[in-house]
Amino acid sequence: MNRLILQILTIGLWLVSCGGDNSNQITAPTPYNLDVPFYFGENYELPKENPLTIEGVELGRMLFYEKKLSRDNTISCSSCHQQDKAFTDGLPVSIGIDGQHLTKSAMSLVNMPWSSHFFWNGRAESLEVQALEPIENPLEMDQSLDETVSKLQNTEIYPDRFFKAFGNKTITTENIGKALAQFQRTLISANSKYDKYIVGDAELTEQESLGMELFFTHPEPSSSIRGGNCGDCHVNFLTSGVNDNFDGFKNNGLDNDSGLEDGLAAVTGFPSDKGKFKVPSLRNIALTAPYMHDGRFSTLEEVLDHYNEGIIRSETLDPLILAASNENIVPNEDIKLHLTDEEKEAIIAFLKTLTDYNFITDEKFSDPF
Amino acid sequence: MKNFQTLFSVAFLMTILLIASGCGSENDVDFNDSLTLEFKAIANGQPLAFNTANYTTASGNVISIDRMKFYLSNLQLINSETGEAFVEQDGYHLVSLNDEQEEYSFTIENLRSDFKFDKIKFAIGVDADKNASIDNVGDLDPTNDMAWNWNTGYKFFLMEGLFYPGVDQENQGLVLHIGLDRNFKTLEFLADNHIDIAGSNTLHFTLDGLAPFNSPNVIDLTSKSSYMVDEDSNKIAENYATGLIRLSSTER
Repeated sequence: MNRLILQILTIGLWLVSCGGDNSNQITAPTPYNLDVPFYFGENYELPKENPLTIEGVELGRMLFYEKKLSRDNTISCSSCHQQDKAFTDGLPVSIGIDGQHLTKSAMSLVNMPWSSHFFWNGRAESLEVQALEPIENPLEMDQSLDETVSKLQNTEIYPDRFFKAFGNKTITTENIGKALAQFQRTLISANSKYDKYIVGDAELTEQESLGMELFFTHPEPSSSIRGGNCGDCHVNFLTSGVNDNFDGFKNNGLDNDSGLEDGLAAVTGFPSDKGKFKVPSLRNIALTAPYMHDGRFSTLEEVLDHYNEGIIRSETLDPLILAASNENIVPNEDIKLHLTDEEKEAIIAFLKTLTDYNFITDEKFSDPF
Repeated sequence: MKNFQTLFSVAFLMTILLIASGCGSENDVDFNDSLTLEFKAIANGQPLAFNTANYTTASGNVISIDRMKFYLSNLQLINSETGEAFVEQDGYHLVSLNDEQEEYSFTIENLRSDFKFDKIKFAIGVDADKNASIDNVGDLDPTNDMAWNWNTGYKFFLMEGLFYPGVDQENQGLVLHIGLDRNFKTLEFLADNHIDIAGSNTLHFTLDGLAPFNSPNVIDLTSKSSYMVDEDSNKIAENYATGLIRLSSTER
């Protein structure tokens, strides 16, 4: 309702401003009020140089679903980031223009303001920068930014939309990035069963409850504390990586030293960052299979098996994985969590409480065309 | 972080009001001065090389350190002659050091310029009141990786790295996640001379990365390289209360 009032006000202001002589007079776009649950905390930033506005977010939504961003007008951001799959594509690695396979799995887009350093290896410092790369990537949309600007400029709708959002009918790549970033920052998922539990509007089953405890607990066999060790990296309510420099990038034991990809090391240049990838949010994880940066696991059961008994040693394997077991660690033996089947099932039951059905059907986020 | 600064400003304003109301005659006092506390990690007296260097602890264990973090709270600046004290309200600072951030500092603004102090007190940890709350005060935030679980309080001190048991032995994870009310430790530092708050001052502290393992309790990692909430974690806390932080110099 507030939004409606704001929109009416905007239209009102716009009408007033058009009453003057200059029809190109700039009307400030209307601030967009991001609805954020208190328990997500304050460790997020909305960049001052690109504040959220109703017009900017709406333009970003159109661009997100705009196939003209691709060379042959067949692919949009939403081709690989589909709302019904929590903005993933259900594929191990995404398929770009001309049916080409990419090398990484499409990441879910969720609760982005609490995240920084985008892409699996963290190479984009901002969403504004991130949003432009797939347009130019020859495997994805394969279209120069100049060509993209020119195609959008020659449409009926976009010059006016850019004017409303940024005060200029002349489209720029910078404003394309800004609009896409604005839309993505509004993709807040906070209406899962887990959220309802946090605010006291729902109860977890006994199994989900056990799963939650295990999820957030680092095991300590000397104190008989059992844990699944998930929350060490997928921290707290957000279940995503720590938003502090590159702290939220980890090597989770998928490959040995010779098989490790560069990962974060390609960005920082530190050998100690080899094989580290962005810790993703687990919000809506039941909808985002297959899993890991290369989509190697098809099911949550396989993921749990990996962390429980499939960890592969390497130089940069995370200490929190190395040091986690529900039984006393025997030097030189394989790394195992020693969870029971029942405990693994409980963790999966908890993971399923992170599914937010409003998020995947909310019309604010859906195809506007 | 910007939000925290706002919070601090409010906290200081309140402190200032308290001090000011007690000193009605001092009309000329201004509150424009600031104090910076800066922290650098060291090992064996040299800057600590995160991730890369191997260090030997008192018990002969070889380790490397990826990151160190701790909560600094309940900061007081005390004039031990007059008994006058500045008490920072709701100040919870997460001091975080790693290979991308080799120094950490924070600044207290709006201090009363005629204040002189010679003693600095602060705690490692989060006091019991706030530890049992999910309020976001200062750097306290249940969504950072210092919260154990949103209903079980904060880690006060965190160190992560690797322990190298020896030739032909696989590396082990080195994990210190220490918290719980019993491990809240208050530290005191004496400056050589009274520090005059007028002008801009910086207090330089060192954080000794090997201190948690060395004294008064010698920790042997060969029996266990992960410390969290059991009895042994108290020994780590006793160590960080003793040798972790030194006031190395003051500067203005």
